[in-house]
Amino acid sequence: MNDRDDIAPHSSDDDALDLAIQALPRSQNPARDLWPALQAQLPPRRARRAPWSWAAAAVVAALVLSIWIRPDLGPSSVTAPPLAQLDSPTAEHSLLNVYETQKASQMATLNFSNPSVSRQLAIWDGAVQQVRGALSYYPEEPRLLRQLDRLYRQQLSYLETLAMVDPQVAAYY
Amino acid sequence: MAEELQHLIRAAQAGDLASFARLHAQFVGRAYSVCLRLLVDVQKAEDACQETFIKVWQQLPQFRGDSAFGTWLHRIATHTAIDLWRKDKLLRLVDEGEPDSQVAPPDEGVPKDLEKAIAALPRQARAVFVLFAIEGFTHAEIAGLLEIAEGSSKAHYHRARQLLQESLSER
Repeated sequence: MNDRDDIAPHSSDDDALDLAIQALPRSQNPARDLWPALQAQLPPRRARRAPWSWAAAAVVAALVLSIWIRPDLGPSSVTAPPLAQLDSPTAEHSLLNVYETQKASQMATLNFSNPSVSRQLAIWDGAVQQVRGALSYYPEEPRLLRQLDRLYRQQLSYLETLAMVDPQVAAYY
Repeated sequence: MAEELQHLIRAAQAGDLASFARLHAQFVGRAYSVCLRLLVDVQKAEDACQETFIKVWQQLPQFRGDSAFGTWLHRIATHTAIDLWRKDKLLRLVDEGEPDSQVAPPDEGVPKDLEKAIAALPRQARAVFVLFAIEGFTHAEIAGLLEIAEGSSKAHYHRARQLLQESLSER
């Protein structure tokens, strides 16, 4: 017999109370947004230096090089955030906001079902996730931010090229 | 989902405020809920909730994932609320049998009668009831948290149930 059974014999009132207790919400949001005040109170914290993260960064660098498949696909009309932003604490999110919007817009105009295209995009997405994983340990690391920037530029240039070529030709990309 | 949570935790551990803001948005309701039910005062519950997340921010680099993040955060929220509950008790020197006068209005859509009846319970009985019946602590754990005997915890719980049934049958 545990704590939960250690209750006097149940009447119908007990059952009704138990049901009502079970129906109580376990989560209630405060009436106002507490985040702005909380943010102002949070003490600054330096990024944690994981001993293996330099190795992770090296793996990411190798991965980036390995998927540099079309050097001729340089950025053309791709709009990048100002380089100065790359040094700001929110640079990663600025990059994501700008590039993911552009990427979604380009993807919406494409109508392809070629598995090799999907596979290629998945490789880029995987590389982006790898860089973001490394950035979670080194949020201010400029080289990782530049790698993220470069990956998105390549991906967008690739999509841009796909949009311009004949779908049959695009099958070879 | 779990992978996204892990990513947010790792990023917040590294000092990323945006990720911590998302964790806050995801878990603030759960933390606020236990604070409000124990303290029965919106302002105090908000204070306890803020203090909880400051502790979480400070202790996050040491979080190793031995328990679920939500469970870990909820424990911090409960302890923080109980600390304030205890200080409040010392400051006001109220009679243990007296319910709190300032009852927080429950949100729309929740079983209001029961919430009000819980809020109107005597402080000790309410704390035991909330921790045992709603938050799932054992009487042994509650005894440790509230610094009372385990038998007292059980007695408070039974008393709370009786009072709640009386209160609800009057409505």
